[in-house]
Amino acid sequence: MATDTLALKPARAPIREPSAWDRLRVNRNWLGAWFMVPAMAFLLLFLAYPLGLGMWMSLTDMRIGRGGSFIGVENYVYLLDDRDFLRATGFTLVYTFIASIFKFSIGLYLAVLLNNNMPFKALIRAVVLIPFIVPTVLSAVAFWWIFDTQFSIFTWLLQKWGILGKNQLINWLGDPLLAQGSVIFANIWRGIPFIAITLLAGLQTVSPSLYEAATLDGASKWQMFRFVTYPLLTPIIAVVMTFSVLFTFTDFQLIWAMTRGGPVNATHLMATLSYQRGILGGRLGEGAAIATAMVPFLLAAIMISWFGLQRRKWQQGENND
Amino acid sequence: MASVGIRDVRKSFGATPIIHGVNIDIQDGEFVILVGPSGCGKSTLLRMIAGLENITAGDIMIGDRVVNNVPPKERDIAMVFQNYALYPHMTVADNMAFSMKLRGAPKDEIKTRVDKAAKILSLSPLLERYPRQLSGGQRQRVAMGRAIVRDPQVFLFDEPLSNLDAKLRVQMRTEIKELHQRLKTTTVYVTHDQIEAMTMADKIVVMHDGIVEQIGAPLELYDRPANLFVAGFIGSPAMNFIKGKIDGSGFHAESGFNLPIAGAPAGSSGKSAVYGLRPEAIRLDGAGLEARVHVVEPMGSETQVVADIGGQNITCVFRERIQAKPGEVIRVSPDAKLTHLFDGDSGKRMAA
Repeated sequence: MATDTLALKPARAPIREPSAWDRLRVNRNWLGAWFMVPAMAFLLLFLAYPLGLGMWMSLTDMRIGRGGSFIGVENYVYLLDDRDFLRATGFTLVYTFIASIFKFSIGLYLAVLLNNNMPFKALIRAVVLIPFIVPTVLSAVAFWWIFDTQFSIFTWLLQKWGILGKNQLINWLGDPLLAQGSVIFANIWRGIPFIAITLLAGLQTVSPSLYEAATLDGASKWQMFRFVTYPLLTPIIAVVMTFSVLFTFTDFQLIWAMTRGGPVNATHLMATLSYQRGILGGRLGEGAAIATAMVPFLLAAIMISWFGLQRRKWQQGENND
Repeated sequence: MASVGIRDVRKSFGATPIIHGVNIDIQDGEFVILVGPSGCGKSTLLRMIAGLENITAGDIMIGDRVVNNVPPKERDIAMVFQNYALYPHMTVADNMAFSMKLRGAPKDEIKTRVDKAAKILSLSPLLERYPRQLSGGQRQRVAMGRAIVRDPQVFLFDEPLSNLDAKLRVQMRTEIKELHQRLKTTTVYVTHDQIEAMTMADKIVVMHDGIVEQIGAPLELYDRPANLFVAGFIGSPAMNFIKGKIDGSGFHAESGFNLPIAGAPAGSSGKSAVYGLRPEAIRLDGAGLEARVHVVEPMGSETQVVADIGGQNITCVFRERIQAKPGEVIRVSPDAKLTHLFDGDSGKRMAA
């Protein structure tokens, strides 16, 4: 019986040393690398290649319909003396700075407000999102009317309240300073929902028992915000504000739809100026140089947030619950 | 320190009543435990004392003051939460100092108080750590430290040990009890664990479905439970219940056997009743009832046996190490002096 079972055992190939191919076949890192290939290909084709091409173009005198030749940093040297470029750079910084401050304060305020229990909570939260979901160009057209010289609702209100005379008009988008203020206002309006809703999500991760503990510890509403809510929200604020600053700095649609950079180039951002020079003006090399000049600013913003985003000491270790 | 009075307190969430008129008197310095199954309203009652929930009707008093409309921070109480509710972005020292800092206490006073509390709870080496860097037991102690620093009139504990593992729970039980003996602060403690209640309380309040079933000292509840609910809830393993009726000076079980009782209440003969028998009130007795062994669980100090008597599973605990195997028959008899009788209709204890 015992010998039978032994004899019936199927013959087995002798164990051989695993070949390099055998080892590779079971290597998880090798497999993982292949899974990454599609994403890598996408990024290289649609991100790295255009960026590299743009940088190369900024070093040539390329025009539309004519391949350029390498001219080194001549484009940049020229731009350093160009008042419109310097003005656009300055306004881009001011635009980003002012809009971000307002978007952050109002967004945070709204988030705290929306985090309270109130009737029609879901509906109100949905309403807050509207500026975010309306296509930028559509809202820009609406603002175009809001700031129209003749039909502006602001002018109408000011007349109604008697601050302006009956036939006095304000040239909202015609006066350089007012136009700058108007586009910043529109950008703030459009940017608030993103910040408010993201911070609201952050607020909802704060355990309610912390507020109860703070209540028993004797904290007022303001102290609760100052000592509990705000510090716990800082990691999310860092992420949101990085994105907000990047989006604002590279803004194009809103300006282009409202003012096209006018009056007298007062509302040109670097992105719109680059488009105007490069595509409309046909000087691809110069346009590319303006676009490339944005990179150092964006890198600086990312660096700042990268340090801000590092895990704070209290976030290390296990969860608190 | 202060006494706490709860007078006919009711609570409804919307139209749903949760607590139906509760009366509890808590003496100054007493350690009172509210115990009951989940959903019985014990945590809600505690949160009402803290001021985190409104009171629908009735009065809650701390000292001689009715605090129904006093905001939590003016009630002079401290609470330890089930999930500890430590501020994750503050160090242990800052967590404990927070309430004093808000009150604007001088820096050196804060430091003395925090150091003192840390010493009591042996947290001194951990003062600069953040909550996430602590173990569960250490977080628990920080939560208590936060309460101690304030030196309040009343400590409130909301299931503080339920997030800890079994061994640590036993250890923290002792620590909390020691702490109370040392500070003598009035304490109200909520738990669903009757062992915690039995081991720690001066006075236990058993709650069920929004009413108080019984209030008393731990052993009083154990020895003279007022009704079937308390009898079944207090004690582990739980009391055995046998349905039947009183028959002269004995008890006749539905399944046909007779059990001895200490003395039948007057005029109760023939009435339907429930016979309550604690597992440890059963003795091995060669002349007793036949019991077919189902399961034997040796614990070392004692042996727990689940056996079938007349078709009903009865849990017995013997001090002896018995060698019975499943399927074997042992003979047992109850100790008549340690038995309980409950009214078959109302479930109330029948006076012997």
